[in-house]
Parts: sequence; structure tokens; C-alpha cells
Amino acid sequence: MGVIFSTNQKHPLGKRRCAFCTNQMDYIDYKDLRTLRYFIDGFRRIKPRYYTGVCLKHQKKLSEAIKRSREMALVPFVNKFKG
Amino acid sequence: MPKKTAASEASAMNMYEVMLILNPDLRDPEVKKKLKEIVDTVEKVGGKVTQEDIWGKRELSYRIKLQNEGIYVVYNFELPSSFLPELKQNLRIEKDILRSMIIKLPHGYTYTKFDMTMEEKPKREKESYSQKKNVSIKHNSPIVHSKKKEETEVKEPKNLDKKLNEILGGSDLKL
Repeated sequence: MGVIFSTNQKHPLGKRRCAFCTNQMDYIDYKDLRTLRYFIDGFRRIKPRYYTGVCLKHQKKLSEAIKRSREMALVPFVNKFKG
Repeated sequence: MPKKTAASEASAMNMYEVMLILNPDLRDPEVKKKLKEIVDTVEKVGGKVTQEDIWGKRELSYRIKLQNEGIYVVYNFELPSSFLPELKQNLRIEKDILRSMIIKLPHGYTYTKFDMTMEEKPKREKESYSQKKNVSIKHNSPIVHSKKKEETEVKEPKNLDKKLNEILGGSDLKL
């Protein structure tokens, strides 16, 4: 996949565009960890919409995909704490 | 209502994706046996296998049934929807399947293989560390270069001045 994803955190509010709308992705795959990574926090939480600029329609699909990959142990629920 | 049940059994054929995590202690022939059993049960009912992908061993991001690793397998099936609850129970009952998931796929879905090696993080950290090292080495070298450059730069204007003076002096004399 040659698709470039980035969180639009640095852009001002007016310039934000949904990354999935611009790439015309209808279905977000739960196996596609490279794209999911951009929308997961350092604490492994799903990043809220006001950080990433994803539209509501795609955010719902994204959250479903992340939850599926969590269920199959591809992505952790919580960070691993050592000691 | 007997009519409805008969209709639903006949009509609904859908695309499904099944993901399995198998016990990592299984050897290759044992894994193939297990998968054959599943495929046979699917084909008996009238389903089709459209895609088979065996990822191999992979680290789990958290423990499942006291295992830190698992063998990942992905199937794409074309199944009658009435068979789903049976399949779910069969997968749940098997001891060597750590976890399973069945998903209904959207229309026009095409299976794409993803590189799982790109996801690993520790490699990235190593790269960045090595890059830092290189940078530190480079920092030392340009300082030496710059000294040399300064010397050459200082020399050049002197030469130019001399030449200019010679040329100007000569031209003055000729004119």
C-alpha cells in the first residue's frame, strides 16, 4: 500500500482532511497494522477525532477495526509494564 | 413458520473471513491436519474456500491460554449463513485453537497481504540510534574540513589580488 497516513495535528482546523476520505477507503482492514498504528496512542488508546481529523463515518469503522485487532492479539489493549 | 426457515437455508450465501490462532507447539503436519478438517467441514455444507493465508508464528501482544506466541491463519470462505453457529462452536471446542474470529466481509472485498515485519518497533529504534552515531561522527569531520577550506579561501583572494594588480598595472603601462 503506497498510501501515506499522517495525523493532522499540526495543521490548523480549517486545513484538516480525513485521511480515509482522501484515499477513498470504504473498508478499514483490521489486519492492516501499518495504518492502524497512526491512530493509536502511546498508551495504546484510540486517538480521538480532534487530534487526527478523521471524519465521523470513518472513525466508527476505524474503532471497529482496532477493536477487532485487539481481540486477535495483534494490538495490545494496554501497554506492557515491566517490573 | 416452516417456509421462512427453508428459504433462508437455500438463499443466503455470504463471504466470511475466519482468523484462527493455533497453538505454537504444533508441528507443520499437525497444523495441516487441523486445517484440512476445518476445510472439509466447510466443503461438506457447500461452502467454498476462496483464500488461504498462513502467516506462521507471531508474538501475541498479550497472553492467551498461557501462550506468548501463536500460529496465525486466515481463511476467506463463501458460506451459507445457516452454517455459522455450527462453525463457531466447532472452532470453540477444539483444544489447539487459542482464539478464533468470524467476520462478514463487505461486497467487492479483495484480500491483500500485509507485511507484518514493517510493524515491529525495536528495529526502528536501532536505526535511529545508528543514525545518531553517524551524525556524531560527521560532526567531527566537517570541523577539520572547514579549517582547510578557510585556509584555501584565504589563499585564493591573495592570489587574485596579485593577479589583478599585475593585470591592472600592465594594462596601465600599455595604455
